[in-house]
Amino acid sequence: MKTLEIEAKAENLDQVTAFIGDALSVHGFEPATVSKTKIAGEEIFINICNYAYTPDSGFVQIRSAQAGNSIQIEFQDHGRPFNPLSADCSEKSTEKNTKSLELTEGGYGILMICNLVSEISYRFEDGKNILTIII
Amino acid sequence: MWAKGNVMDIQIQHQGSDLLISLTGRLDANTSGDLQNAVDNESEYESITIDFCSLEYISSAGLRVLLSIHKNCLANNTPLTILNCNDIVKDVFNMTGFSDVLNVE
Repeated sequence: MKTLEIEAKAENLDQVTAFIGDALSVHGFEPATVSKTKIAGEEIFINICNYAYTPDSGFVQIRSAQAGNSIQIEFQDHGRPFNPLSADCSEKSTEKNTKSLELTEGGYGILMICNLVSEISYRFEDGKNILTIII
Repeated sequence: MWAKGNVMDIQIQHQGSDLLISLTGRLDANTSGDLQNAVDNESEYESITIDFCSLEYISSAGLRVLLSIHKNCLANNTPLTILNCNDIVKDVFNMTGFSDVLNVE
């Protein structure tokens, strides 16, 4: 298992995507899969930066581990409890299909995460938000 | 003109009346503001073309900036074209509905 502990600030995004890139590349994942996982990682990390600790600051711990042919990446923070999966991933997809010329301003992050990873789960445990993705 | 960021370069050229913007790298939470600023700082154009040929990926922050540019273009009757998207960007446009709204070639 590899771990990155980093302050939840958007300026640290490049370190997060580099950590994810290294975690997947070392196991031979294709570049497209690496890029898609970086996108999912950005959405999760930036969400923590924007909402977990504001107006205070705090840290995020990111852990990667191999699980068979997959990689599991866990994002842990001690911020206020929040389940990002409470927003239904299918809602925006349905909305997308019914609209024609209008796009809404937000909500794309969780939709993208759900579409870019094989599995995603959330739990609140020992005072921590723990979001796990499997690639 | 070159605007160099950590993970994205923006090259801007005026080709006749078209503003051609070529992106290299990632359009993410830290770089998407650079694209917005680059467009805001330009004038004297009748259409905008954004070339994604060297863009690795786009995140939701990049989508929000594209949406802002798209809406400004609609309001000003300025054609906006997105060129040379890789498969990752196409996937993102498809899953979010942007492919139904943007002119992607």
